[in-house]
Amino acid sequence: MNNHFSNSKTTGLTTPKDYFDGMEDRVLNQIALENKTLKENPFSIPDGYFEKVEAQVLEKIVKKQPKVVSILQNRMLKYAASIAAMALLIFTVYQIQNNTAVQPTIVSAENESDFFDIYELEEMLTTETLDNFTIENNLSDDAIYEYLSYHSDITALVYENYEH
Amino acid sequence: MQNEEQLIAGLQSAEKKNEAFKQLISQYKERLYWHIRKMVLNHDDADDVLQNTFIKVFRHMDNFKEESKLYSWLYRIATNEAITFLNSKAKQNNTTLEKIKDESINNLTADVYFEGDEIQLKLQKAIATLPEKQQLVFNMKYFDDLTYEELSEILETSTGALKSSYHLAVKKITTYLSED
Repeated sequence: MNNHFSNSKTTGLTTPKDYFDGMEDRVLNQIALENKTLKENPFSIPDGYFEKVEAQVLEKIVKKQPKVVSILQNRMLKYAASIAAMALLIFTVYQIQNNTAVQPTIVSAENESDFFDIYELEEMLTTETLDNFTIENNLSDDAIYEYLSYHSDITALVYENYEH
Repeated sequence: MQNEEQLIAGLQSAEKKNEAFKQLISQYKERLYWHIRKMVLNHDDADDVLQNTFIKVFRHMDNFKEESKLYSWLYRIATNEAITFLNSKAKQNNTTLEKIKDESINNLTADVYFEGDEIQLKLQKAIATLPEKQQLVFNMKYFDDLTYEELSEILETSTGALKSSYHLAVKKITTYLSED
């Protein structure tokens, strides 16, 4: 459409296709929607709703961060367990010396796997893996194996299925 | 009311995180709520999505790279949570997203928290006929009065594309409204 206003030939500026043709509709449509009622928010909320939001969200965040405490994390319990194990070891050794009924056996590589070691026990008890977790005690592995092999209940269980 | 910089600094510090987060909720809860509400239509659903949004924000605070404005980031999370919510509702009811939205629209008249008159209800129905992204553009431009630049940051779309989208939406809506 040629007219005496500036056009792309004189200015070098261009417009998208149908830009002018579509102008009336675009403007009229927008005007139609510029209606106070239409622009009003038709949604409402319960009284006092917004005042409660912070508390509700914070409550949920705290709930979603449960602290899982393994019983073995408790230092007191660890020390108590070590002491109990040592006491039992001493007591059992004393019993062995006064009682020839239970034959001590040297724990070989074969039947080591028959015993739950304390680390396997730990894995069974915790609900999360504990990285870098170690049990601090003064018992050497040998002492522990020895204790376990002398403890009559466990050896009885072992010997049930153990073929000599 | 803290400015955005102070708020972000607080959120990314270990000691101030919780207090800053509480501030963030206070500052943005209404805007985000209404944005979500327009998408899910129902108050209870909007409440769920709003809370999920803030929980997500809390968990991913360290992922906020400050390449965009805080508000854009929040808006984007809210939008995604609303869409996820609707999709999951559709899946649970073994139906489609469109049917879920249709159902929500049809429930509006009975909804105690919808106070619109006939023409406002018709407008909601008209908006529901639009493709999802167009609905977003229309709602944010028409009701929230965001500029195309703000929309561009939130929706990560060029202003040109957004303008086309908006004009198309307006055209469809006015046609719908003028029909019986």
